[in-house]
Amino acid sequence: MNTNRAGTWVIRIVLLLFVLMVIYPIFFVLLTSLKSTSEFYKNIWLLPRQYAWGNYAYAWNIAKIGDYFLTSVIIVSITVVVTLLLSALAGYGLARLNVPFADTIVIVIFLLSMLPSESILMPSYLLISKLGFTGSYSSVIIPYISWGLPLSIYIYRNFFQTVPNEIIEAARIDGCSETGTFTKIVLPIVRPATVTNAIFIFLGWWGEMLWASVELSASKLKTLPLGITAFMQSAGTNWGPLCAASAIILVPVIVFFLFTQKYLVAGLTGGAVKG
Amino acid sequence: MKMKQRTRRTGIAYLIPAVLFVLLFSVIPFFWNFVLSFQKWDGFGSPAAAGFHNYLSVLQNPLSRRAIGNSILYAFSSTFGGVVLGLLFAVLILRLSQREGGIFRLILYSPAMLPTAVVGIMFVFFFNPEMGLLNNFLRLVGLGGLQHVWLQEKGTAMACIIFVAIWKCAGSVMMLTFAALQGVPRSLYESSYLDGAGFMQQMRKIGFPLIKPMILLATINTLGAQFKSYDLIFTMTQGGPADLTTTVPIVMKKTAFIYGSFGSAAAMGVLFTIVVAVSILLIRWCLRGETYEY
Repeated sequence: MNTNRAGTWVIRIVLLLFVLMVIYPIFFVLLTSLKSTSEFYKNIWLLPRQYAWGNYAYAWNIAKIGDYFLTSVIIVSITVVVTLLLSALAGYGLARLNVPFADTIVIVIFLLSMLPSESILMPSYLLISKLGFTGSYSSVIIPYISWGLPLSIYIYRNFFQTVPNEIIEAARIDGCSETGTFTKIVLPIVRPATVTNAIFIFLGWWGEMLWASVELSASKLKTLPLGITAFMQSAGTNWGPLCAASAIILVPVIVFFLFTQKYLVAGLTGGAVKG
Repeated sequence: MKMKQRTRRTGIAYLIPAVLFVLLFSVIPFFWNFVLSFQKWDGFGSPAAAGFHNYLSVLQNPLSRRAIGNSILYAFSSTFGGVVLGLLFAVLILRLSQREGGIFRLILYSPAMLPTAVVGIMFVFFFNPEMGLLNNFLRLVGLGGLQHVWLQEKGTAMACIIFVAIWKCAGSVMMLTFAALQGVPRSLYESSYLDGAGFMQQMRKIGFPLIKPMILLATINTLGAQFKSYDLIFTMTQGGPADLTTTVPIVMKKTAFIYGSFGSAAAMGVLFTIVVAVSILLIRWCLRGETYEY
């Protein structure tokens, strides 16, 4: 491919402009979270002259972002663990254990993963209230698990299919039980799939609002996105604490992203055929 | 043969827990929603058969018609913008070194990771009329006349929301198409280079046609994601000004939980599902064509 220096610099500058557009709004939230209200009105653009850490204390304690944070952590971690466990088992069954009609089941699962949540919102709400779960942790966790399963099963199944049958056969012949083969031999091989699925499940539910707002509207229990929008509506022009609250929901995502980004490409293209 | 039967039994046992969850909260609700859409029900009492009444009332109601229209407008225009911008990023980064390109990819992908609700709040700050970044920037460079009350004005609210949606979704298109473009062997470009083809021509005539299946996949993924419009629009405008930016989930929630008309909300869900399915098939059809082995 032909490259010339001037051209490369044009590309670099164009990309840098886009980078600025991506980073600045995020940077602005982090900056503002450390400014007092009076400083914010005098100095919008630059670094704070005095770090107002009190904004974080205000958001965490008085706006109760701390409580919402804990609620979200509990809900999302249970969801991630259970979804991974169930989808790994199901994906392995579909890929390698001669389940009858496996191909048909996989197609149905793929279609279910595309289903818009609007088409199941109301009946799910009715079902949860019939079960008596409305407003509890289970009312959010159980549906989250169910709705995350199809995509996760689909990704796992595609990864399990790349595990050579010879390895599985060899383990069986050596007298390893099915469960042993699965947990000791196969699961470690597909670790990239596990990481990918964990990323998608975490990110998918950490910021979810529609279902949480339906289910928890009358409950004391609130997830982080609900808490923060409620805070936004009551805080008005109190930008410092509001930005601090936004930073509290962003930071785990940024940390998580930096630690897992090398798996992302594999995960995003996982299940897709060669381009 | 005995072995096969044993593994089959284990396989079914492995599948059952997941299937139960999916049956209970996806399959059953899907059919229940369909049944509900033909009933008149306020959430209490017992439901009565209503025929196509709910569908008619949804289609005759200007608000729900606008919501469906907005959902389609939002999904298609943000997908279009995201795919174009994502492809542009992928092509530009392809011309940089592995290391430098990697950093650009990481940063340009990062908006896709952020929770939509927080992105919405971030851009409420961005578009705020007095203290927002955009109006301040316009004042700073002497274009104060272009200032708007972005999210409360009829002419700008939806455009701003779509801008934010594109900001968020371009990154994953870039990731997918970049990986595919990297898989195209260099040798395929070389002869065209000798014949004097420029870089853009190489992309248009060789690169894009070869990665067309990936472009299709990225477009469908993005479209599917962009039909989920609740979080962004609810945090940015709550559907306002005057219901101008309202979309299906916002109206559905109101219809069911404020007006207590579960049947109409269910009918809206069914209509919306049809819209989504038809849209995906339409994109498939538009981007159809031969695929090449290489």
